[in-house]
Parts: sequence; C-alpha cells; structure tokens
Amino acid sequence: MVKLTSSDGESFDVEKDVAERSVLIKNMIEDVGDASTEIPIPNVTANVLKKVLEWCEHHKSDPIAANEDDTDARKKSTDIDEWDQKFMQVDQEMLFEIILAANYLDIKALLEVGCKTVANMIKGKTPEEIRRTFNIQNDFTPEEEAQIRRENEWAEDR
Amino acid sequence: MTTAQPPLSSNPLVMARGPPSQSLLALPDELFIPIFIHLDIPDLLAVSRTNRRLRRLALDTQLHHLRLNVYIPLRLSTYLSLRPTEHDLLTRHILRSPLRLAHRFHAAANGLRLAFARNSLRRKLALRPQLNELIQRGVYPATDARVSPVLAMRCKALEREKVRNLLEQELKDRIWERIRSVMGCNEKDKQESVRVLVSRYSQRRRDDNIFERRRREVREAPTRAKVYRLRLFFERISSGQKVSVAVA
Repeated sequence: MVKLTSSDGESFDVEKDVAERSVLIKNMIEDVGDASTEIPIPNVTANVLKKVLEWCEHHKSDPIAANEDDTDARKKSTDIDEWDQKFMQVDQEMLFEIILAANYLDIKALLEVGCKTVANMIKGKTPEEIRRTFNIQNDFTPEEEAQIRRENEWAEDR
Repeated sequence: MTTAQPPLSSNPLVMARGPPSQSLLALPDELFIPIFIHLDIPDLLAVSRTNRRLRRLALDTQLHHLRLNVYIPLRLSTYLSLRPTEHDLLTRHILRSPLRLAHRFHAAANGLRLAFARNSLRRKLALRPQLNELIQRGVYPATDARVSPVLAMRCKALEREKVRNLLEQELKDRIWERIRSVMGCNEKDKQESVRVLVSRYSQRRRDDNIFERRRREVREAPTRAKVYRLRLFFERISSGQKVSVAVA
C-alpha cells in the first residue's frame, strides 16, 4: 500500500500497482525506496486525486505503455472506451483538472482520454459555438477578424 | 508533454498554481498539441478563429508537422485495415456481383432502346399525314359513294391483308438475314458455297451428259414404228394418195 497526500492535505491509501499507473509516483517510490512513506501530490486537490485514482483502479490491469511509441496505438482512433466516456462525463472544470493532473502525474493513457474528450467537444462546431462552449473571449480586433475571414474564405463552405 | 521532475518536497512555487482552471485557456500551451492532434483541418480552422492564443496554437507548425507525418498516417493505416473486403461486401449485399451487375446493365440498356424506339415511333406516327390529305394527294383511293359500303369494307380488308402479307414476308426475310448473320454466314462464305455448288452442279452435269449422250444416240436412232410409218407415208405418196397424216 502507498499513502498519497493531496495538495489540500487529504490522504489516500492505494495499492502499489494502482498508484504506479502514474509514472511520477512510480519514480518517486523507486527514488525513496520505501513504499510505506507518505508521498505528497502537491499539484492535485483531493477531489481530483480521488477521481484520478478511480480511473487508475479501473485500468490497473491494462498493459503499461513502455515508451512513447506504444501510446501511438491509442492515438490511432478518436474513439473512447465506453467506461472512459462515462468517467469523463464531468463538468469542464473537473475535466481540465483531470487533464492537468494526468499530465503532472504522467499518466499517458488518462491524458489521452482527456484530450480526446476535449477534441470531441470542439469537433464540428463553428468558432462562435466553440467560444460559447469553453467561455473563450474573442480578443480579435474587427480588422483582424476581417483579415482572418479573407484568409479562410476557401474553407468557409462547411 | 514531458513531465517535470518529481518534487520531493512540497514546493511553494508549484503550489501557487493560481485559481482552479475553469477554462480551456487555463491549460498550458504544450497540452494543446495532444488535444488538437485529434482535430481535422476544418475544426482547426474554426478554433483558429476564436481567439488570439488559440489561433497561434491551432496554426502551430509543430502541431501540423506531427499531424501530417505521424498521426494521420497511423490513423489512415488503422482505418484502412478495418475496411471490409470485397467478399464481405458481396455477402452483405452491399456490393453487387459483377455478373448480376452485367445482367442489370443489359436489361437497362434494352429498356432504354425499347423506350427510344417507342418514342421515335410515336413522334413519327404523329407526323403521319391524315387520311383526307392522302385522298387529296391521290395516294389513297377516294371511297366511291356508288360502291356499296359492304364491298368497300371488303376491299379495305383485302388491301390490309395484302399489306400484312407484304410486311410478314419482309419480316421473315429480315429474320432469315439475321439468322444467317448470326450463324456467321458472311459474304465470303456465301461466295464460297456458291462456288462449291457451281462446281458440284457442273460435275453432275458432266456425269449426266454421258448418259444423256447415250440416251440421245439411242433416241436419235429412229424407232421401228417410225420407220414403218415413214415407209407407209412414202408408199402412199408414191401411190398418189392424198397426204392426210401429219408427220409426228
């Protein structure tokens, strides 16, 4: 068992192979050499860490991608596993927190799922719809906007 | 995408990440590559028109390089390997077999030809001169008021029968011509067969001639009866009787 402490001080007891889904934690355990020590996760809050650990628990028996090339197998399609789809049905704040946590904890598969989810939210939308979906400020000046429209004229028909 | 070195102690600088990320824009630049790599060009263009920062990220050269040279070939090869084979499509009745296609094509072509013929016939029939006009031009005999209607009708029926026979003959000729052309009896064969026939015929003539000559020799030799009658004829002449018997 490994004890993880979130940024807001909450502790989680998890199995070693679940925690080792995270390359960061795995390296830390190797560095410390003692699995019983408490490992602080300073970038991740308790509710996000709980969610990430839930994912790790479900995927604990997945083969771990040994190197960068192996993750390509997952990149091949934009389809997301049914369980992962349900798992990702969270509000946007949580979604981006999970992506950031996965990036920080170095859990490639989870990061991939998060990125695909965001990509699917963008697909097929107009610029205005994308702005509304993600609450993005339009910071173009009218001149810039006219310029962009001219540049994109060839792709306007969609 | 590379991870920072694991901080062994809680670093206050890392802790001070700021307010919780609520928007896409809170993500660091490097995380946009794994997101945008799943998008196609139209979506990337749409993203590039939302915001200055997103425009820079969506049009990033490294992203497009990765997309074109790594991601797209991988995706294509995956999707191509998932493509059903021709046999699968045939068994699922999505693709039609070439034989059935050819059959359908022929049926359709035939239908078209028939429709074309029907249309042109209809058009030409519409252009046909009226009966009155034909009578005026003297092409069609004017019905005589003096002829009884029964007779006129009979005449017409006969006339029609004649035309029908003519047409039937024409049709038969055409059919025979067609059969001959289908059987491969072209002009050259015909000439050859004629030559063969001529040679055979002349051969037979030659054979016949031998018998014929013999027969003629026999026939030309006067029969006994003839000799007898001739003798009688001359005897009568010499005895001064009137010649009443015609020479046979």
